[in-house]
Amino acid sequence: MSEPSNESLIESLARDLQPVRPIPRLRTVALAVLGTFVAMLAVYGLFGGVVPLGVSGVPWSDPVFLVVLAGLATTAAGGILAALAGAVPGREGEARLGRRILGVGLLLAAGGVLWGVGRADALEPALPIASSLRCGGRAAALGLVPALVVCVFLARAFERRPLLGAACAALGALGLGAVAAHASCSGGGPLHLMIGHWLTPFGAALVLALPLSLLVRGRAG
Amino acid sequence: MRESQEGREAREERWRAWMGAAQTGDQAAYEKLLVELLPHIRAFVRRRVFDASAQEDVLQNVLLSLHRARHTYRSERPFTPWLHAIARNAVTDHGRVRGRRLSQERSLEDEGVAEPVAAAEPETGEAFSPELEAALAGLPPKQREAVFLVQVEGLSVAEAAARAGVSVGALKVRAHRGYRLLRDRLGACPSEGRR
Repeated sequence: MSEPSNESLIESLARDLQPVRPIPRLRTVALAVLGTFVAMLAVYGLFGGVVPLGVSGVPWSDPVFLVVLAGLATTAAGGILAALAGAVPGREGEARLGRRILGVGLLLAAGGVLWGVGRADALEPALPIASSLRCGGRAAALGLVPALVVCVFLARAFERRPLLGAACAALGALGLGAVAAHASCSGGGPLHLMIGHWLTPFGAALVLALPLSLLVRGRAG
Repeated sequence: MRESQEGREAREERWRAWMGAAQTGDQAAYEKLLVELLPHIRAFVRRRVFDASAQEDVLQNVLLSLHRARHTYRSERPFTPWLHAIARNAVTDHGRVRGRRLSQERSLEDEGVAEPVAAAEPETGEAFSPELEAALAGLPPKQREAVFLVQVEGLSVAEAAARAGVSVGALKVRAHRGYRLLRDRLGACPSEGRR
C-alpha cells in the first residue's frame, strides 16, 4: 500500500468529520451511577422495601458481617472502575486496577462468608432458599438500573470487549445492590449469607452480563 | 536525533488543540492532526508489527479507530497516551486476527476460491465466469460491495471500509461472509467441478 492511499484515507476522514461531544469524565459517570443507586434505594424504601439503617438487628459489630460488607463494597468499587475505565482508550491501567480490586472484593466477601460458615456452632437445619433468594433478588433489583447506566456509558464510549465490560458493570452494580441487601438484613445464618449475599447476586450478575453486552454492542452500532 | 523535551511538549499541546478543534468539527485542524500523526503512528506500528506488508494496513486501522474513538478524548488529559492506547489496540487486534485470517485464507485457497486479502488484479477488464457472476449477483448487497471493493477494485481493507462508510471490522466481516457464501455456492456448482 502506498503513501497516497493514506492521504486519501485522511482526506476522506477529514471530509466526513462530524462534531462530537466528548464523553463525560469517569468521575462524573461514577457519581451518576452512585446517584442512580441512591435513587433506587429511595424508591425501594418508598414502596415499603427494607433499606440500610431502616431495620434493627443488623449485626454491625460482628466481624464476619463487616468482612462480607467490606468485600461486597470492594467488589462494587472495583467492578464499576474496571467497566468505566475499560471503555476509554488510555485508561487501561485503571481498568486493570479495577479488575484486581474486583477480584480482591469477591475473594474477601467469599472469605468472610466461609469464615462465618467455619465459625458457626451449627448451620441452618435446611437450606434457606426462600429468604436467600429474597436478599439476592433485592440486590439484583437495586443494582440493575445502575448496571444499565454503566452500560449506556460503555456503549457511548469505546468498549472493545463488550462482554468483559458488561460483566464488570454487572458485578460492580449488583455488588452495590448486595451491599444494600447485606446492610439491611437482620437475620440468617452462614448459609443464608453464602447463598443470598454472595452466590445469588454475583451469579445473577454473570447471567446479566450477556444481555447487557448485547445492549452495549447494539447501542454502539 | 532525539526530540527535545520542549519539542515534545509543544507537539503535545498542538495535538491537543487540534483534537479539541476536530471534536467541534474543524476539518482543517483534523486533517493537519492526522497528517502530522502519520509518521508518529507509522514508527509506533513498525516497532511492533514486523510483517512489512501488514504495517500500512495496521496504520490505517489506527487512523480509523482514532476517528471512531475521537469522542473519548478529553482535552484535560494528555493526548499521546490516548493515541498510543488506540494504536496498541490496533496492533493487538492485528496479532489476534492474523492467525485466524491466515487459516481462513488457506482453507479458501485449498478450495480454489480467490483469497480474501491478496487482491485480484484490479480492473483487468476480464469478464467473470458465468458461475462466478451469478454467485456474486446472488450475494446480499453489503457483502457484494465488500467483495467488489477488495477483490475487484483492489482496495485495502481500510480503504474499502472508508469507502463503504463502515468500520474495518464490519467490512472484514462482510467480506468474509461474502467469501464463504461464494465458496458454498461455487462449491455446489457442478460446472466448477468441485466436491
